[in-house]
Amino acid sequence: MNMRIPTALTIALRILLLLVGVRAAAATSTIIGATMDYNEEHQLMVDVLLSDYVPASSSAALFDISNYILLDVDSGRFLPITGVKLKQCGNNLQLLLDPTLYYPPAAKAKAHLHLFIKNIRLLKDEKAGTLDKDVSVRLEVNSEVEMVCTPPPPTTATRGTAGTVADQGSQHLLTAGKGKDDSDVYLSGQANGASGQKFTYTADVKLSFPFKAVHFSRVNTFAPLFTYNASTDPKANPDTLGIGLDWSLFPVRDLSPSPFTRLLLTNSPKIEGTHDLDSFNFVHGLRFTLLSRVARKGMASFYFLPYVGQEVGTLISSPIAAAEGGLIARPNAGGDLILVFDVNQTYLKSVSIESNGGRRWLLRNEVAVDTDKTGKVTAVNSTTKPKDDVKNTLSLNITDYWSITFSHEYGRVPPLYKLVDNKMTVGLTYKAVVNRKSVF
Amino acid sequence: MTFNQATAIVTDCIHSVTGSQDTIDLSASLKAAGIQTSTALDALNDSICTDVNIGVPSVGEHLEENALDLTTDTVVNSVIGQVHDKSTKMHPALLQAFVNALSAEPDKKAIARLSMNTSDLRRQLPLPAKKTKRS
Repeated sequence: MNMRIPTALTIALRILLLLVGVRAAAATSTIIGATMDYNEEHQLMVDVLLSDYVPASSSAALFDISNYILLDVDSGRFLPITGVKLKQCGNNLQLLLDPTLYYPPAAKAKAHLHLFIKNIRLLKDEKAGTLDKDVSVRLEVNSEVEMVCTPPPPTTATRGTAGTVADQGSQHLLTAGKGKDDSDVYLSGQANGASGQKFTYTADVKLSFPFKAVHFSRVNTFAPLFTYNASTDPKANPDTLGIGLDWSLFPVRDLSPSPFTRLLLTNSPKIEGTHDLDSFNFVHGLRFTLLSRVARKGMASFYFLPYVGQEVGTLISSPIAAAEGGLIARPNAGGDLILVFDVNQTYLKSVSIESNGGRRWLLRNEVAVDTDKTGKVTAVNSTTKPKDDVKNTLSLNITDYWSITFSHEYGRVPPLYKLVDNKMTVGLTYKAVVNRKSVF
Repeated sequence: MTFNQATAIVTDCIHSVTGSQDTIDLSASLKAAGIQTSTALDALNDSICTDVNIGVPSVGEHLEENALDLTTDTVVNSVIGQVHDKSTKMHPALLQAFVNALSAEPDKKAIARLSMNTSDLRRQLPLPAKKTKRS
């Protein structure tokens, strides 16, 4: 057998613990992470994060150091634990180690520790059990502590092996999104029919690949964006596409004592037009959005994100030749209201009601489309009359990815300002966020 | 960084973004803690990575801005684990800039945190060794 002796030692110790009657916890309690490091008082310790709180009834067992075994897998020796501290957050232990602990220099690159905690019962456990976890080492090589700590500075891989929390979402290419604005990949299809009429089909596609970078002491998010809306319904907005970039950051992080907590600044240069590029504009949008405090009562949460902004640009191509080269200037204001009920039942995760809308004040004439009496779509010069749009959505979120959506739309949106006149839709929606870790 | 510090950073940043001081259940999702929208998620990431008063820089460490995998369904404990595991000791030049910034604009909370982490900072800063009395 090629089994390494240290591995065999670990397995043997696990079996020994089982033989002496210590059974593994039936519940899902785990040690989320364990790291050898220095605490705030510069004491050598193993820092342990548990998956749940430690109840007061378990405090006697918790502070009994004989319930802790810290095994150096390579040498087979137990490292001496001299004390246990429970930190204020209730699920964080610090196991103080003997300050005279010494690692020979040859062991620097090989430190492989494993922690066992016996007789531990966390809040949701029915009975006490044993938890165990590999211990990562995060000690800095430093002249002040050279005699005590000798393992090397951890590599990313070392830390990742022992300490990184396995997050369900990070294991997949796609994780669940919330709505169109929150999702990096959004695909929505709808079929509408009525007695004596042909079925019409609508598709709504959004692809976005955001990445972040720190500038101005803030995290800036850059999101290349592609949107495409298509419909066979002559009464719907014509097929449109948008290609652009959203660049956002939070310039103000403290708005107390106002009802808002953050100010979000978004820059959005983009090309917007019809899918055949018969008509398209270049527009640069600048928007200030406020993020409200969360108002909560029971299972209900309420949010409000009001905004003001300005869009400026030029008409590059237009069905009305005289309009080409014209300037675009659209101050705008609006908001997003979100009410969420976290039902958390097996058949229904949550119900959300969202209403977003706004008004654009057109300072210059632009091109709009209209439908004449024969049903033919024609391009006309729009007036500078303010253009409103509103969308109300009721979502029944069955799972994190799938939802049934009822929505109502009214108003005119650029680039063609065709009136969407109280359009009601019902659809099945798939929403996801690209897991960049999987892609890159 | 200790788990205790990581817990304090994550809970302080959630409180800052939501504007609520409610107790946060660490075994529940960010959604349950009040982080419900992508805007709020971005604000949380921004605070954790760059806020010198309550974020990772407040303990003299650095967290890369793309390092966290966050969705509204991520468990708070998972965020704490990620912050703990993915933070790295701050580059000395950055740390010096951070200390200088604090000196230029004193902030009680930041100074309190800084003083709590003197030992960490001493390991990072090229401070002269204390002179010992000759016997």
